[in-house]
Amino acid sequence: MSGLNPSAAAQDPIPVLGLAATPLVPESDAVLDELVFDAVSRALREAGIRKQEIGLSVTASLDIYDGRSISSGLTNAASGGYLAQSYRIEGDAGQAIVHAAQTIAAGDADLTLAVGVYNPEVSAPDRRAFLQQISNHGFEPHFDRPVGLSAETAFGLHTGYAVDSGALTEEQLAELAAAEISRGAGRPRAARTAVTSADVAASAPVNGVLRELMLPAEATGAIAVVLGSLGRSRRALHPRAVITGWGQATSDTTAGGQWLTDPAAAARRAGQEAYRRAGLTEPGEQIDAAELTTSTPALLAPTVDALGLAKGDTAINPSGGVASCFPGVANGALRLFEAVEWLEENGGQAVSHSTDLLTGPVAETATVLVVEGV
Amino acid sequence: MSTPITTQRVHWDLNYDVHLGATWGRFMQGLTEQKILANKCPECSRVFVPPQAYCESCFVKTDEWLELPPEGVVEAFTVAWLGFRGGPKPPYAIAGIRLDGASTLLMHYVGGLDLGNPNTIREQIGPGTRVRAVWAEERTGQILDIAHFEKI
Repeated sequence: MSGLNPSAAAQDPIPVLGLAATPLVPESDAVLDELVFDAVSRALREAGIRKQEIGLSVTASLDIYDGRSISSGLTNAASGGYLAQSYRIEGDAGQAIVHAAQTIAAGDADLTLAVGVYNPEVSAPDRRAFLQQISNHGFEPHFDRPVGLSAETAFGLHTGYAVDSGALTEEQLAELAAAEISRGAGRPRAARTAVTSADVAASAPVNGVLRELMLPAEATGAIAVVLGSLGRSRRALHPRAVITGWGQATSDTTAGGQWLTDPAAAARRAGQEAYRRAGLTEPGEQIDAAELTTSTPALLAPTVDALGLAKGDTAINPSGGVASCFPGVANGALRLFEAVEWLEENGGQAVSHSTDLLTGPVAETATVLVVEGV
Repeated sequence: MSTPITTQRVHWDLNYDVHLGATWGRFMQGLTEQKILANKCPECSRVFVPPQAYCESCFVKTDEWLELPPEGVVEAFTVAWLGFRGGPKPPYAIAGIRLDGASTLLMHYVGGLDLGNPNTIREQIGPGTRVRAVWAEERTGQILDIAHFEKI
């Protein structure tokens, strides 16, 4: 293949051979495995690879959303894992992509697949209350759960803290949210239409100073990514990009309080590892675009800063980010998808950053991927 | 044409007896006696409330107990305007409270506020507001033995 010559500084370049998503909609009537099969079969077809060639399938899902205590029993075969190497992680799809990349880097497979699926099994009128109930269950049961903590509450606490400390005003929160939503509006996967800051400020109050349109735009569906070794990828149909670095890190607990003062600490640690693997020394100058999981406007500046992107011309959330579309635990794959599409149009290098939002900024697992255009 | 059947409602009903362990068990016992017990890392001297069996940073067991006053300072504050199934009835106020002498935050309700008008909340409470624990009349060894905190 021409063009598949990743930067020599990258420690383990892993080409992306296929990327596909189901329609990302407010609620899907499909069974989970139908969503997984749809995304996986399309990604494999795009990559020109048969299911039997996949050395490992990794699925990202969460049993408690799925209404099944071992939902991977349902989705495993649809991920290409039938009678083959496969496992599931309960978390964001960014982690599944890292696992799939690591397996190739370790020399354990030439072709791997990661898929994230998200369709909480509750219909729309109850969905927000259901998701926050599950979030409450994600918190520590003796101290946090009984006092009503949930992701929204933790985001509300952090945003209030940011406003009270003078980092930004409520008007700025609305402006930032409107800018992201409107940037993404009209794109194929946008879940929201363009809005003004007045629309954001007038949307329903949710928690503290946070309004509905300041929080992620919920969507459902599945997104699959096919990865290959460099050698195998030179025989692939249409490599779309190369993952040159990856990193993962976790953040502090509720009582520790770092999520208030340094809410992107996990992103910073994950980014440092990803940049080291990619051989990046000046990310602010070397990264052209970043798809971030900034779940509230108050998390935008800390995350950009933590990833070393505050100085420079990096395009931040060109797709509108999670304010435009947030497909739950499949989000890590969507952020990569958006970053890859941006690279196909513009070239250069991009970053995708994701976390699951089960407990908001508390005890989050952050994943950072560095991607290079081909 | 009949309406298509798209979902079936399923209900999970599980009861857990979640273990407390010796450290949290001692803390909960203290609450029944209107005492807020904390413990301390022997290496970094951080004071934990809720207490911890070990310091996750120094990775050593905590071995010194102390009682903290039921007063502290609000570091972060919010009001949940929307609730969730099985949760408290909204609106309700929650704060991250640093008790006097503690290195960590205790999350709890704040009572005695007028939550009727969102625009007046931040006039009533914010970072630096001093609060005190209000004890529940009946205490059974759970965090809600502190009914809530209130402004001093």
